[in-house]
Parts: sequence; C-alpha cells; structure tokens
Amino acid sequence: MKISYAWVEKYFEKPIPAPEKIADVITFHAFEIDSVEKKGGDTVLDVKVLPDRTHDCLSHRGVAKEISVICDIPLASDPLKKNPDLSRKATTLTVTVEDPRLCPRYGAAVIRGVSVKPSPTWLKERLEAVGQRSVNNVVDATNFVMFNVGQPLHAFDASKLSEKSGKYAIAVRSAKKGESITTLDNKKYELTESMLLITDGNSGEPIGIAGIKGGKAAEINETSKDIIIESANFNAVSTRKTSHALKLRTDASTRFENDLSPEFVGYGLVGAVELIQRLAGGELEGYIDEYPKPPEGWTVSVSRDEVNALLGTKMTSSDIESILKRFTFTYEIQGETFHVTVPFERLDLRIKEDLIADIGRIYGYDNIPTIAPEPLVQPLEINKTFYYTDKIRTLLAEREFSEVYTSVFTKEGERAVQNKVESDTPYLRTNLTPSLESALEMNFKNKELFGLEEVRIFEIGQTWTKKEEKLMLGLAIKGNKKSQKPADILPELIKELGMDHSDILQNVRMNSSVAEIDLGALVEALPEPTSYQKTEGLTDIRYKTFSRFPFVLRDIALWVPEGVTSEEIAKILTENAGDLLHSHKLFDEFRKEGKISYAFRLVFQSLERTLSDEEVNKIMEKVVKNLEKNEGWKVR
Amino acid sequence: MSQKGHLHPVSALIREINTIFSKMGFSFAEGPLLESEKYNFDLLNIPKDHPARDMQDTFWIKDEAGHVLRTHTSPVQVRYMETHKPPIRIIVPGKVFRNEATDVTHEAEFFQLEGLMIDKNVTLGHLKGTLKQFFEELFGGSVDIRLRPSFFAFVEPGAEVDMRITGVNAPEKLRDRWIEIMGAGMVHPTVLRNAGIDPDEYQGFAFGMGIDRLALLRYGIEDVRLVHSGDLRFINQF
Repeated sequence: MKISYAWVEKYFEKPIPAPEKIADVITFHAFEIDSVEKKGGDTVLDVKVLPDRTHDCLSHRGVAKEISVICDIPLASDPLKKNPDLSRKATTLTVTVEDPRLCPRYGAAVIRGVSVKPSPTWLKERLEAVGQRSVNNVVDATNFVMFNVGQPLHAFDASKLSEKSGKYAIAVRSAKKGESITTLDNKKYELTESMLLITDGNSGEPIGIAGIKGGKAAEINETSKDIIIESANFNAVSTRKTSHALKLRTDASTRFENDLSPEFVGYGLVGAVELIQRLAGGELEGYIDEYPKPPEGWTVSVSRDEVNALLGTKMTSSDIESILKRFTFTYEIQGETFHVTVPFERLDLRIKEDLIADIGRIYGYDNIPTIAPEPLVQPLEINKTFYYTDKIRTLLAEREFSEVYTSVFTKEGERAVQNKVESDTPYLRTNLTPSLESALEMNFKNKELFGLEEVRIFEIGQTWTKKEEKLMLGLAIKGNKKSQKPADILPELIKELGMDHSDILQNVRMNSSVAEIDLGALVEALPEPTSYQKTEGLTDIRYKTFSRFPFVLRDIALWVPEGVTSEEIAKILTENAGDLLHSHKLFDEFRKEGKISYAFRLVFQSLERTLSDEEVNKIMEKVVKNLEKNEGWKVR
Repeated sequence: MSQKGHLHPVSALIREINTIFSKMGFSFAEGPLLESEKYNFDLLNIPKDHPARDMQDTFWIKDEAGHVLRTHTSPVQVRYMETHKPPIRIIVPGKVFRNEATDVTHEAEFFQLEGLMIDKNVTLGHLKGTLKQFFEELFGGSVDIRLRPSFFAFVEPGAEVDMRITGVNAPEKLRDRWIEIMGAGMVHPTVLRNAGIDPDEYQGFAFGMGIDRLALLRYGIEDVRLVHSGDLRFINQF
C-alpha cells in the first residue's frame, strides 16, 4: 500500500525519523518496503503489508501505529480510540439485510444539503500521493477516510433513489438470476445468485456490488444535495469470490476480502460525516446501524518463559511489559503471565505464538542469539531413493554420461494441468524418452564443441500415468555405428548396484537411442543402504556464458619434420587463430619417411554473432602462413 | 572419449546440501510431486478461499478435483511428522511448481529445499545457528544471518532470511552484501496438531529456499531456464 509520509507525520506531535530511516525500521520490524519515492514535497513509501496484517494496516493509521510502536513515539491521537457515536437516528432511511452472515454490519448516514464541488488542495495532494484521482469533495472524503483508517465507504445520491411514504430504503441482498449492474465507470457486469448487491429497497434496482464497487444509478455529481454514506462490513470469502468472478478488484474489495472487523464501521462512518460536513457543508439527519451480532472480544495470554522458549531469548518480564506498553495494549499481569486484551482491529492476534511474534519483532530479530544445534541423539535415517539415485549418478558419470533435467510438461500425456500460463504443454509426461531424444539431437549437433564423437546423457525424473507417479531412469546415446546401445549399459549398472539380475530388465522401454526403466521399482528391490557414499570436496566452478551462435569447423593437416610435437603446433594454432577459436583437437597423427603428419580440428565460434566463411578463411590463411614460416613445415 | 560425464549442477548441489545437513543430523525426506490439496494447503493452515492461497500460483490437475502439482516442499513436513516422533530433523530437496510466466529468474518448475527441526526446545535462535552453519559450509567464509518479519500461514513467527558472507574465503561476487535467501519461521501449532504432534510439548523451526537460486549464487549461473534446458553447453561446465 502507498503511504504518504506527510500524512503519517500528522499522527505525531513529536518528530519522527526521516522517510529513509522510517523505511528501514519498518523493513526490520514490520513489513517489506517496495519503494521510497519523492512526490512533490512529500515522500511516498510503498509498504508491502503482510497478509496477516491486512486487517489493520491497509491504512495510514495502521502504518502510523506500527511506526509508533517500533520507534516508541506515541500517537498524538488515535482515531480508533474515540468511541463513535451513532445514536442520532436517520428518519428518512430504512436498511434491510437479507443475510447477516454476508453483511454482518451495515451503517449509513443521511446528510442533507451538501454542496458538491472540487476538493481543497490539501485533500487532492493527499489522494494524489497515494495514487488516487480526485473526483469531488464528497467522493474524495470517503476515499480519504478509507486510506486513513481502512474502512471502505461509499456515497449515494439520495435523490436518485425512489421514495415510499417519505422514506428511502436500502436492501442488501443476493443478486437474482439474469440481473446486471452498470458500475460508476460505465461498465456492465452480469451477476449470478452468489453475488451480494446493495439495492434500492423501494425500486429493487441495484446501486452497488457489495464491498466492491458503486453503481451508476445513484452516482454523486455536482447537482447532488442529499446524500447517503454507506459504511458497512462484508463477508471476506463472499467478497473475494465475487471479485474474482467479475475480475474486478478495488481498494474496497481488497480490504474486505482480507477480513475487516465490523467495529471499523462506526469509526469510518463518523469520520466521513465529519469530513464531508467540513468540506461540503450540509446537515446530518442521522445514522442507521444494522449490527445484529457484534463479535466478542479476545484475550491472548502468554508467559515470559513461553516468549523466551520460542524465540531463544532471555527477556525479562519488564522487557516484555515495556513492549506491550508500546502497543498500548490493555493487559493484566498474573505472576509472569500477561493476559492481553486484543484490540478489535487485530484479527491476526488469536494465539500466544501471534503475540510472541509481535513481541519478538519489536524486541528485534537481530537481538535473538545465534544458537548452533546440539548434536543429534538418534541415528541418521539413510534415504534409500536418494542413496541409489546418487550412486547411479556417479556410476553413469564414470561411464561418460552427463545428466540432464528436462521439463515434466509436454504436448501429450494422460494427465494435464488447468490454466497453464504457457499453455502449449499442459500435459505431464508419461515417460522420459521424447525429451531425452530431443536433448540428444540438440547436443549431438554441438558435439564438436565438446570434442565428442558421441553424446551420452541420462535423466532421473518423475513421470505420470493415469494411475501413478513413477520415478524413471532414462539413458540415451547417439554416436556412430560402433556406439553402445543404452539398453546394454543397464545390466552392468544393476550389477554394480548389488544385484545379479533383475526382473526390472524385462521391462525396459527402449529404442535404438534411449532405454528407460522404472527406477522406483528397482530401488525397492535393492538392499537397504547403511551409509551414504563419500562425496568429493567442493569445487570452485563458476559458470561461463556460452555462445548461442553457430560454430564453424576447419580441419588442418600438416607435415612437419620428425621431433616436432603436437603441442608446438597447437601453440602456434592458438596464438594465431585469435579469440574466435573456441577449441581445437588433434584427431590424426602418423609418420612417413622421416616426417610426421598431424591433423587438427578447429572450432570457431563468437559470443556475439554468426561467423562468416570469409572471416574464418582469413583466420585460417594467417594460421597457415605462420605455421609454414617454420623450416620444413608444410600444410597439406 | 576420455572425459567423464557430468552431474547436473542441481544434483551436485543437492548432494552437497545433503552432506552438510547429514553432519548436523538432518535426514533426507521426500514426498510426491503430484500432491493433494489437503497436504499442499489444508494441513499447512492455508484454508480454502483464504488470500494466503493467492501467494502461490497453483497448477491444479485437470478433472481431478483436490489435486495439485505441489507448490512447495512443505507438504513433506506434515507427511513426515505423521509417521515419525520427535526429535525430528529433516531436509526435503525436491521439485516444486508455480503457474507463472517464465523469465531469467522464474521457472514454472524448480527445486526447493525444505528444512524442519522439531524437539522440546528448538528456538528461533537455533534456526539462525543452523542456517549459519549450513551457509558457511556451502559458500566458505563467515556467514551472518538476518531475519525480517514475514508471513507464511504454516509458521508463527514467520521471517524472511538474509545472509551475508564475509572474510577472505567468501566468493568475491557474494562477499559483504546481504542476500535475500529464504522464508522461515517457527512451525505453527496448528500444523503440528494436524500432523499428530502435541504443540504443548514440541516446537520447532521450518525453512524453505530455492535450490535453483542457490545454484545461481553458488555457480554464478545467469539464467534459471538453463536448469531444465538439457543443454550440455551448460551442464558440461560442472
């Protein structure tokens, strides 16, 4: 949520730290800060309010309160401490709520004779700071109160509602089949029976989607005189479902779907009425408050020892008490136990661990000691699957196989996922063969880069049939006619794992280049391991970006006098071929009549571009020239 | 052909992780990738229709209501605690899935490392100590651990963990800067209860971090999509 520093500052009499410092203390004691930006004379902090604090911190009051607790600077005044007085009754409005579970509280105020006009500069600035467009003084006042204390509000033009016996009526009910509504932004939404509506009780017409957005039908404009302010509470799950179904997320729906205490209703309503009267004049007729069942209060108890036992700290009771005081919690002490009365807005404080988390973060996680774990008393469990998969990896690497991981998602299979963002491969693979085959092809094309005659790869991974999830091992080889078949590797592999023969081998899925077995079943048949294989020490490998461009090959063979080594030739090759030489390999060598013939394969590749033949030819000319400078050296 | 084959860097890293943690008494545990909603969410204190579920973009299995590709390795916490009595120390390295667009730092499938330690007096201080030891062995150098408040439904308190490697043995590119590395916290009593462990008697910590990210840091890999590329130009460097 965007928080204006200037707005928050108004909550304090004493000076508070500068914006950057505030961002810092919030980061380490409450929430992540996504950004800190100067905006005119103000600074805006984008505060990433944690999901469990959306009940009380999606507001400037909530964040100011956090700053107050963290920095130990009291709030000059807390809008949630003054009990709202809704006793003056509205005489020209009735409210009916069909299902109090979906709308636990509906508060409303009727104000007569307001003058709707542009907002004063201070209000425009506040709203602009938090990314809101100014509409008019009445609408802006309701928005201001929402961003100030966290209670969403809405204003209706009373004259646009029907009257019956001198009374307006608001009915909160579920939508009817086929019903639709046009919202303030002129968008039409088709509704279903699970969606909650605010309607004109006399005409039946929808005037708002409950807790989400107001309707066009009762919009406030410059001519509006008599207005109705709604401050209500809506069920979190119902609001969330409707918001998702309509793909309509608003500042109001975000707050309701995270669950708000219905106690906010009164504070929001009185706050909005006061501000509207200040900005737009008018006379308050009175309030309606449909609130059949106020929630019961909560008490959470925690002892000093419980706090220290969870955090690993050595706090004293007075350390803890001073933190509770900073929260301005009401509490009782019984020995070393604190019974804390949870403020209504803190729906996240329900068990002692919640309270310990609050105490811990204010105490400071940096003050929690670093404690090494004691040695374990019971023996380590050796995981059989990991033991054997790890061993197989070693055995295969010894046989020149490299390990690949490929995606589990494919174009066909027996089971699929819904709504995949990248949707061309929604199926789960039933076997490893197709992806191993394509990895084999891709790598075979690059075999010269590795200086390989044949490519050997393997994968260990899960596959899915309609019935089960299976762990499979796939081996793949591509080379020449003399290359081994991957299926021929399996018997010796299984033998090295400690089995002479296995039925597993009767179930090898294979073709000429890939062999695949049920590794889960194999592991099951193998003996229980007693300890993990010893592993080598750490290597200091740093990855180097490889070229995505094609490589170019050049073979070069030359006669040299007896006694010249291949290393001497390689040195001249690398010195003259330049940076574009990726690698070189000696692939042939023979002697004849006192001379030696060496043949090298040179691989050229650029990190930045595709090389042209002419370019490589030029390099080769230079290489040849420099080789032949030597007495008796002749390129063939 | 003279050279040996190459282990995938993620496998090499998991091997290293297991070696370090087994010395600290953590056993290797595992669980299914295609998981039930019950283990992936419900038993981890993430109820239906709760905004906490929005924190993870889930792959739901088509025509199999209540089944998902696990979004984290945390379901194994509950599966393991259901069949084992404390003291418990496990790590769970394994594949997880998120339904999101891929780029150089995001993949729809990646690897996570879960850790869980349950006993009578395991504290948040032990979390710090365990992670410090792990990172010092993994990266070399001396490691500081820093916690910031966070929220995960299956822990309370919850924290984001940053680490900083210092000293001459630290890899140069990582030296002396704070790196955001994982989420962690004290296992929520509801999760313990759901797994059949009495939260009045036992408590402990859990953590979860991305192994791919760890590999990126450890080896300096710049694109997480290389992990599943099957490309030996990548793999044969390790």
